[in-house]
Amino acid sequence: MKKICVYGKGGIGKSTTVANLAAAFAYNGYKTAVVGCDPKADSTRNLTGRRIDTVLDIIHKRKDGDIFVLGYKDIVCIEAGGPSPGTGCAGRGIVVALEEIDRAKLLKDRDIVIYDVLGDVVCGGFSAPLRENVADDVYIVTTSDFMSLYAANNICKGIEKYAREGTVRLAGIIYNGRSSLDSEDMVYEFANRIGSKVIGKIPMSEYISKAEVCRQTVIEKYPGSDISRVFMELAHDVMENSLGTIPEYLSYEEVENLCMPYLKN
Amino acid sequence: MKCYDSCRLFGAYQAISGIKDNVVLLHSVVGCNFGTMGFHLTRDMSDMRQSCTVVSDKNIIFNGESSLREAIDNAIELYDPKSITIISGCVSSIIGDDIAGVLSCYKHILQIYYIEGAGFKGKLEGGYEDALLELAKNLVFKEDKFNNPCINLLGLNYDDFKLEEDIEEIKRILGNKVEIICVTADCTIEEFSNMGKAHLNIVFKRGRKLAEFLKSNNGIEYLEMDYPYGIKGANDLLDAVGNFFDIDFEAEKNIMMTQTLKRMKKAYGYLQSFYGLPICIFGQEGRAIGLKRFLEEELGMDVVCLGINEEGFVMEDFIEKVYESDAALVFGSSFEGDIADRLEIPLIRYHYPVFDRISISDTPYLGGRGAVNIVEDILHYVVDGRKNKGALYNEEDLCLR
Repeated sequence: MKKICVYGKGGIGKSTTVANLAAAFAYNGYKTAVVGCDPKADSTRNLTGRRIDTVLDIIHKRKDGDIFVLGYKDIVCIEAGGPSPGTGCAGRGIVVALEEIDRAKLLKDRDIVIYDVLGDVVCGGFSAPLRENVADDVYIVTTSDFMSLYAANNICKGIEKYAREGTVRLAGIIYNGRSSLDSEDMVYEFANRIGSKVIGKIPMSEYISKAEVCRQTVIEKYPGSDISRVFMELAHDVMENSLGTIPEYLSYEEVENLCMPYLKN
Repeated sequence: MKCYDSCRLFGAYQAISGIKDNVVLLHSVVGCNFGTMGFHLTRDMSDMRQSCTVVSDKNIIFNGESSLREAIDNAIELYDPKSITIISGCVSSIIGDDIAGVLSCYKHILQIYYIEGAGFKGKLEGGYEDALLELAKNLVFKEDKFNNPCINLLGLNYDDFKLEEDIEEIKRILGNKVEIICVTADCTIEEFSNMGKAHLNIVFKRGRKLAEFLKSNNGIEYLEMDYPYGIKGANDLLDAVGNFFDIDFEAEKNIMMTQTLKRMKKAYGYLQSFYGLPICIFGQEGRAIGLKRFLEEELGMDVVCLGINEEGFVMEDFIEKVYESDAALVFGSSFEGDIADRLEIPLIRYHYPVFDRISISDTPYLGGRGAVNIVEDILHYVVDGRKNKGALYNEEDLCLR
């Protein structure tokens, strides 16, 4: 089983990437699971066509029903869930949800499991997928915006801590080219500086938005499109990828110095 | 846990629980409820004015505000209290429960107050001080003073061993020349609210923030004192109050001296054996210093180790010194039982928490009567310890069995 988790700055396209990657894996016959680790609980929307009940809602609010839903091509879709914005402790929610998922043994027959984690490693709870053998490989989604790379570098700090103590590794950077500045070289240089690599680039595509309006992935909605092929290739590369590094994260000044020449041009 | 270094929640609990028509509601995990209740119930098992939200995993994730509402509703139904004071624990402070928001829904029903007791925010003493201050800010207003000489007693603790007996003894010592408006460790909401009408606060080395507040807000002077152990301690209290109000307490002092000596004479032979006896004392400043003075100046003992629970105090260092000493007695809390056991010497319990003894008889430790009771207890512990190091009646030597 391949267990990966996807991090990245909030709103950078993690959930879109995760859903389309999962759909591509499933399309190619892999038994796939997606675990949304974000209180917004929208990681699996495009795979199931709806918002599903979350693990925390089911176990703590004593709702009836399974803690998973089968989505596109029988992808096991799970949302950890969490508190309403501004209340409670979402990090603790992630920990409890992962314990419950493990206890229910829902993932044991899967070929690949993808954890879609909230924007940043803001507290110990959001580092939970990096620990206790939950995931092996981490991918960071980023655009070529300064703040996006800044967040990516921050995430690398979290990965580095757990990589030194455990088996988790940074497997690569996924470049989302949808920002106003499409500076591929900046992202490649960043990946190189932290000792990793860019494993794929997702170009801007109107089909992504159109498919999301229909609560679908581009793999399902527009299987013959270029963007669909991009996700297919990315899924292939992720499956074949054996790179795993302990990231050498940069200082704030180093990130700034790296980005500024690209941003000024 | 060692209470000499306990957390803010325990201090706030100590301070607030003395208000008898108030219910303490701990918004915390079950251990905080168990711990606080365990320490006070041995003093008064009939006094259950306490409730707890028992914060669970669900409350941590989704917030504990609904549980708090439920617990307040239950406390109102169960106790019908005049007021409720919420003391929050670590979890609710970490996750940021909006406790003030919850309480605002109850302000029109009853008096309800909130004190942050998170352990990571400070230690026991800070919790004690801040809790009294917070309550005073809500309850004590600028009012005219009573005509008679009136005082408040600050710094006694609700879960003190022999609290009620000691308060009664202080009242007896002062007689009818001075009225006590409020003893924060044993009062009602009304008495607490009336504190501002007193002329003087006696501060037994705790409740200093409250004393400062009452001075600036109500113009009440305060005098810091050690606990009035023994005749000297009681005389000091009478002198301080007498000087402030220009009251002559000589008659009361003479009566106390006469009555105490009359009883002490019966144990004269034993008392001689106290001279130079090496002992250890551990406790909070006001209590330990007051007891030291009594034991040294009135009984002639020799305090070879004194552990004052204050900022920078390291219990482990104190314990090491005790082990290296030739102490024949230890004065402390129930927690110091381990020290006494290891040294095979008696432990005289006088300080919070005492959870392995009860005190339901009228046997104070303060003042002249307290001196008699302490002497009596020392002798009993020493005589009972037949197997102890240096026992007066060694079992093997004297074949008592």
